[in-house]
Amino acid sequence: MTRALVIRAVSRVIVPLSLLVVVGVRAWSHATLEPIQSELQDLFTLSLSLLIESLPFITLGISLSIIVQVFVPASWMQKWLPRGKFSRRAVVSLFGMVLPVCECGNVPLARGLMGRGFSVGDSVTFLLAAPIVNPVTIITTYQAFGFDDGILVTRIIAGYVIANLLGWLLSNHPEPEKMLTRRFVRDCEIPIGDQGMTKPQQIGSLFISESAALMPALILGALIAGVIQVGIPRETLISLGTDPVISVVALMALAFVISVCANVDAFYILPFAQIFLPGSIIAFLVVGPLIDIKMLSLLRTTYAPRTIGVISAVVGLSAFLLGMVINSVG
Amino acid sequence: MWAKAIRLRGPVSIAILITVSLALAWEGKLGFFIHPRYNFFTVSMGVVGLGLVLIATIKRNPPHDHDRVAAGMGLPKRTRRLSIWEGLSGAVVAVFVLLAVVLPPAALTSATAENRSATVPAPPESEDSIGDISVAFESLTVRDWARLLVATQDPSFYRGKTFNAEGSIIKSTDPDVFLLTRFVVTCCAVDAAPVSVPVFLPGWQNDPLLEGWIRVSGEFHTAEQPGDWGALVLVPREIRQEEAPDAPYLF
Repeated sequence: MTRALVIRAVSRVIVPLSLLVVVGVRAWSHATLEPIQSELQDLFTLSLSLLIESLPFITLGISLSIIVQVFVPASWMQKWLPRGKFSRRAVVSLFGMVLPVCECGNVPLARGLMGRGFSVGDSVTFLLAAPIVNPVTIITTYQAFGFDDGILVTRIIAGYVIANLLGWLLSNHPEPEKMLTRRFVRDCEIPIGDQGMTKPQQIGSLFISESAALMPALILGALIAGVIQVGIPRETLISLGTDPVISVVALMALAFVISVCANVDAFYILPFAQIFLPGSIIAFLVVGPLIDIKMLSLLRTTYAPRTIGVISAVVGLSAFLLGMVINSVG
Repeated sequence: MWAKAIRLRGPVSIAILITVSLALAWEGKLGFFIHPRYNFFTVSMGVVGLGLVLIATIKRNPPHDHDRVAAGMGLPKRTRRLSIWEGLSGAVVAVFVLLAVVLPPAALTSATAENRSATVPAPPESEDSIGDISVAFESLTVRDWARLLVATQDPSFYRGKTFNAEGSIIKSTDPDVFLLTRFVVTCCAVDAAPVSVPVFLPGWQNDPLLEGWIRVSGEFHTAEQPGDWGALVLVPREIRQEEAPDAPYLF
């Protein structure tokens, strides 16, 4: 009994103490080591940059997921949402307007929503629409492009339609569990509120399970994005950009590789608007928030590979066709 | 024990990376990685994250194994064998997190600038906005000058105006010209786009002082051979080495 109490007391202080040790080791090593000054250092800087930029959004997403699962009764959410599948998804795809979370932060929230009874189709609709209908994304796209070439309006409509199209497609699957990873299905079998834990215990348990699922995926995604950024000369992608067809593919590939946040991708691509056709710019702005290296890695924590394949194919094909149509009529 | 450590890689890595973010913010070095507009949000969510870490440490009380089985949740996790994927990703995560702790922050090097410079267009600028620049020209950055060079290549505009700015060096297509370069960041270092001004200095490759960060002062003149940067080049009056600034990027 006494031993158990000691172990419990030690376990309570070990984390704060460990973090203080981290701070101490960091201070010592920074005073001792010099940056490597090579492409290897750039790879690490790019990966860590992506991670530090995503980390607050992941934390916010996990926090909202915890709030949804611990404090919001399932019946309350079901009561306020339309019953019909189409109208329900139409409303779900607007959640992004009131939840200011970037695309990577939406993954834990989508997991939380499924934990509260949302279907796979609903969750994908939310996941794909939210970063584009997000007010911050709309404002930054407007600041970058105004209403020139209909880029802003096309982006919003395209994101909304693609999200609902995918939601509809996935909702027709006869066995929805097969669209998810086995581990996630297992985690969802018994809602956190039914596991005999107090609220703080539920919060702690959910934080651990969500960070355990998401952090390795986020780190590996950031690392792969860093490797590709350093390894593939940007010129290789951009040199393809003068052709109306290949330019669309080139900017879609660029969006996939750079994994930049949807809130600011419009500023990133703005200088390219001088040399690229509007269709390829729109393809970039549609693909980027929905599918990139970092997102694929995060989606893999929840959705089965085949589901991710369907999502990627529909998003890629839709964005390509949209870009082609705009280039041909513009 | 290793299996347990690997399974805890998620919560441990988020706790350590949040600590690293907060330490960078405390030292004023978040600018090596992200745009300053995200500093407040990063710090705020870092504090929230640490709060969740503490709650998870103090209050977590997972159901007993027999409860899990009775509840239909399958066998307790510790009886499950660790997969190769978990072991591999655990090792990668551990190395990455360790490097995040021990390596000092560093700005992107000229290798990345060269990778991106040939392809990233200079920021758009119209001739009308030249009139907006009423500040002392000596305080303009490389980006400001790059914008001016895009807006006008009229040599008379630059006559009597002194360039004095810092940056790092990347080579150009002309062996007598190097590009004084800064990165401009929109969101984070991932989207860093280099902007440059051409500096005419024959034999610059042989000068050992021309590496790392330098400050150049001089004036723009018409180049003997126009290059892909335009018809004007900076002819330096003075070049001196400098320490890398605390804010290596322009925002």
